[in-house]
Amino acid sequence: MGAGGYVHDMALFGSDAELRAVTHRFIADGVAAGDVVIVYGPEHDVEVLRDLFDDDAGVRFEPGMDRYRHMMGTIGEYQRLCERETGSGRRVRSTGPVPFGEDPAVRAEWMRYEALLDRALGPYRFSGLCRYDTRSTSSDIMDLALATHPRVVTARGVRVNDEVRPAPQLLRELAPRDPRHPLEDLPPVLDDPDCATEASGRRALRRILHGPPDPGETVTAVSEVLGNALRHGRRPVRFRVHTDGRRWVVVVTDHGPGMADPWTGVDAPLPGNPPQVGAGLWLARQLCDQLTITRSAGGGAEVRLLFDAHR
Amino acid sequence: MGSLPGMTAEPGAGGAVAPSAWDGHQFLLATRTEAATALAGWARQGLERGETLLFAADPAHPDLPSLMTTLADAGLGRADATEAAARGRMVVVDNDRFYSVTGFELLVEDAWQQGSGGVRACGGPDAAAEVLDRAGFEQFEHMLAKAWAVRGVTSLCRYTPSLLADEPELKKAIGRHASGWAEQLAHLNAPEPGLLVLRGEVDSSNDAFVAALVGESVRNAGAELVLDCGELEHMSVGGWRAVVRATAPVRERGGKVRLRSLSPAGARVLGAVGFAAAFEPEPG
Repeated sequence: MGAGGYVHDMALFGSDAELRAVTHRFIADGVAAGDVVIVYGPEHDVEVLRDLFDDDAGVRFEPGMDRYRHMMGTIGEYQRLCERETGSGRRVRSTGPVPFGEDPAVRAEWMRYEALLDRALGPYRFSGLCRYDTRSTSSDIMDLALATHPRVVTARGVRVNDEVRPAPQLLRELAPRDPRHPLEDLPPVLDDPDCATEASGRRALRRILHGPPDPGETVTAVSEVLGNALRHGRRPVRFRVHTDGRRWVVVVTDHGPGMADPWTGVDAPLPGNPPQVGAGLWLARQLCDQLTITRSAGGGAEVRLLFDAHR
Repeated sequence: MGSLPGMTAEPGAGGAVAPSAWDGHQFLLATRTEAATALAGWARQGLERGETLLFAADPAHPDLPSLMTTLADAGLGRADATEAAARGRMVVVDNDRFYSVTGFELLVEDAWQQGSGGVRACGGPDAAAEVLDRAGFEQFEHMLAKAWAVRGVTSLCRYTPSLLADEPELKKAIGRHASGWAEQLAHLNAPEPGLLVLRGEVDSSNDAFVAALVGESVRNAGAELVLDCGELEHMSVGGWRAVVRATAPVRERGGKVRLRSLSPAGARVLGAVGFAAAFEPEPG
C-alpha cells in the first residue's frame, strides 16, 4: 500500500460463483466506507455483480469497457477521479478486466498499463481489483498479471504473491524492440530538420492536418512535445509527420542528452499531486493514442506520437 | 511570419469608430523586423479610421520613404500609404520634436486642426535614448498615457526583447502601459478595469511574459477579473499554470476569476490538467 493508500490486487475466477466470491468483499467494503465503487467489464459479469448487490445505489455498475479506450486516457481518467474524490476524503475502488485483446501492439500497451499503475495512481487513495478469468486468460497475460499484483484474491481467500516483479524492470522488458512505427516507411508529409519554435511547428502542422483526429488536440499534443524538446533538449529539433490518411505518426527528435525516464508524463500534474516535471508530456499522452520516448541514434530524445482517426 | 493577433482592421460603421484591440497606450515587445508586420497592420487600421499616424524617426526609418518601404513590404498597401503621406496623415517626426512633451502636444493639435479622424503615434525607448534619459522617457510615457485618457490619442511603444532579461525594468514598462501589451505571439488588452482580453498563442516561449501581464491586470482588478479567451488560439499547459498562479491573488482575497468564451478544445485542456477549478463559470 502506497503513501496515499494505494492498492492494486488481482482476482482469479473461473465461474459466476467464483466471480461473486472474489469481488464481494472488495465491493462490500467500499459501499460500507462510502467509497466511489466502480464495477465495469463484460455485460454478463457486471449483471452477475449487480444482482449480487441488488443494484446498490452506492455502486456504479458500468457494463462495457468505455473507461479503457486507450492506456494513458484510462490512467488520466482515474487520476482525475482520484484527485476529485480525494478532496472529499473518498477512496476510489474499481474492479474489472484489462482489455488486452489480440492485436500485439494493443496487447503490449495494456501490459504496460498494469506495470505503470503503481506509479500513476500510487499517490492516491485508490484500490484496483483487476479481474482475470482463468477460462480465457492466456499464459503470457497470466505471467504479466502475476508480475504486477502483490496480492491474489481467489475464492479460497487472499494470498501474497511472490511472483511480483519490480515495475521498472518489467517496463524495460515490455518496451518495444523497434520504436519505429510502420507508417514511417512512408515518405513524410512534413519534415522540418530544424524546427525553430513551437509556434512554427504548430503552423506547419495545421497546414497539413485535415479531418479526424481532432486537429486542435493533435496540435496541442505535438506543441507540448516540441516545447519540451526546444526547452530541455538541444537544437536542431527535427519534426516529421507520416500518415496513411487514417493514422498519423509524429516524431520529434532533439540533440540533447536524451530523457532518462521513458515514462515521463505518466505522473499526474494535477493540483493535489503536482510534480512540476512532465506536465506537458502528460497532457500529450492524454491527447494522443500512444506516446513513446526513446533515444535517437544520435543520443537525443526521440518522442513518437500516434494519432488514430478511428479511435 | 503572420501579423500579431488582433491586428486585423475593424472599420467603423457609418462614421462611428468601433473600439479596437489596439486602442490606448500599448506596449509591444518585438525586434524591429518582428515589429514591421505588426506596425503595418496597426497603420492600416489607423488609415482606415482616417487618423493621422505619427512615427518617431529611428535609425532604420529616418524618413518617410524608408518607413513606407518597410510597411509596404510588411503588407501595408503602398497606394494607401502614399495617399496618406501626401495628405500629411502619415508622418515621420524627428526625435527632438516627437519625444518632447510640448512638441508632441503640438503635433497632436496640428492633426486635429487638419480634420484628422484621430491620432496614433509610434515610438520607443531605443530612439528616444538619443534625446531623453531614462527618467525623461518615463515622463514622456506618462504623458502618452494621459494623452489617451484625455484626448483619445492611441500610441504604441516598441521595446526590444532584451528587456525580458531585466525583470524589474520589464515590470515597470508593463505597468506604464495600462491599455494593452503584445509580443510576437500574443496580444492582451484591458478595455476596462476587471477585463483582460487574451489573443493569439501562449506557449513556453512567452508564458512568463503573459503571466506578468495577467499579474498586472490582477493588481488593477477588484473583486472580479474576467479573462476573455474568445480569440485565444493556443494555450500550453505551462501557460495555463502561469495564468492560474498569476490570478491566485484574486482568489486569495475572496474574489473570482472568470473565463469568457473559452473554446471547447481549450476547456477540455483546462479540465484535463485540473485547472478548471481555479475559474468560475461565466454567468449565462
